Amino acid sequence: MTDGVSDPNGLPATLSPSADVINTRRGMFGSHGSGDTSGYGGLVRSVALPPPSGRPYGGWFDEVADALASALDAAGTDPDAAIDNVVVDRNELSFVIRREHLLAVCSALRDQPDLRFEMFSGVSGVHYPEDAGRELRAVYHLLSITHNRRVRLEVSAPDADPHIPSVVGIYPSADWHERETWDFFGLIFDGHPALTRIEMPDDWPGHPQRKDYPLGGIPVEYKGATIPPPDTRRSYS
Amino acid sequence: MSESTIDADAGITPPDSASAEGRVFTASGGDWADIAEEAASLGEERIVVNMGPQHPSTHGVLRLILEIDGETVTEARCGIGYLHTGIEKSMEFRTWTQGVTFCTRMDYLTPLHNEAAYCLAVEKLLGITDDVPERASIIRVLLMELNRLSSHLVALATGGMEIGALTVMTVGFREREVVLHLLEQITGLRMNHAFIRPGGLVQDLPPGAIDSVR
Repeated sequence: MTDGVSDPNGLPATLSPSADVINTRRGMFGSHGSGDTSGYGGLVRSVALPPPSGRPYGGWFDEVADALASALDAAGTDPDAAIDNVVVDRNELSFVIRREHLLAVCSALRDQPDLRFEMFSGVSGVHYPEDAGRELRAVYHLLSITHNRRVRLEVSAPDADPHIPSVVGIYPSADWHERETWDFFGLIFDGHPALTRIEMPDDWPGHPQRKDYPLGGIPVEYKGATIPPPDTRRSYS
Repeated sequence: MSESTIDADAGITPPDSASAEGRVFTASGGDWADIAEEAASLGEERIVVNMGPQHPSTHGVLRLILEIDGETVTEARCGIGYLHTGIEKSMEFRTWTQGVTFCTRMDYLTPLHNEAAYCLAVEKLLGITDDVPERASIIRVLLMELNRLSSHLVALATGGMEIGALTVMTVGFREREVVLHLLEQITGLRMNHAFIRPGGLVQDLPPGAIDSVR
């Protein structure tokens, strides 16, 4: 379907040399040293992002990419500046967008008759602490009911400047999703009408879905009482 | 107004705010307290009421901060975090197979659909979608269809209950038991099955399962 892809699932046959390896993990479950009884201590895994795809993308993907480029052109945005790259992986189409052009891209995707991605299915956060300069990602899932197509947008922001423009003005249903992504990842969506916590308590410190946030060890406050985490209540070693 | 923002109790007048405004309903947590204060200072028929999470119709998973003008709700703020249990964080520290144990608990009415959706995603990521045995896929569909029946029966039953038709509720839950008995026979449990796994299923159908389903 695409360059270098022969697998029916759309997977690259082998890890391509152009794959963007951002991290190498050893072991599992965050355990290190002799205390690792998980059986996974010798495991070595590369965390790689799928490489940018070349044309033709296959199927309707080229159509959408062309329509998006011409719509951006018509709106006065340089498509090459807005779209960092296009990734086709597992038969799914993703656009990596530079954050300053996110709103232009979303407007084009929603309004252009050939695109018509009317439905916003959500924005997810991803945290890659080792990927310097683009640690935080916001991943948008859009659905075109008119054409029955789905695309994914990926926008990155550095941890030092975690700002991404809010798409609530274009997709009102993004409201709660952006609150959730802020709550869990600390991504600040500029222009959101009320960016407050949605899942965690209002006074919760930290953003618990970040990779560097611990699984346990967080004291829980309830009705004025503080319950210490299990690992500090008693010593097991 | 409130020294603890964790305090979920509402509807009790704080002693220091018994003033000319009349009764103040305390909605604690973030700026909700400010809303109550503002509403009281206006001295109108408008009140702010905390509804849930302990309210029967929210069964512990939803809290509504309602701004009420007489009989009309003019503004509703939702607290939806009560079902958030950090499943994603827990799954970072587990294997793909162990993740099913969490997914089955995401929804107590359709656990098998959540298991299937998770397993299909994992299989797609691993590129093993085509390696799943056809029989496993068919059994997945069978289980999901049974589960769909039990879920819809609960929807109908509780829908009847909300409008006061309690017979609808008892009939719905009675028929749901038939499905749950089948699921128990096949997976071993009435809920929290963890029966669908990346790559297929935990095991084949037990003897007599097809006859029972028929």
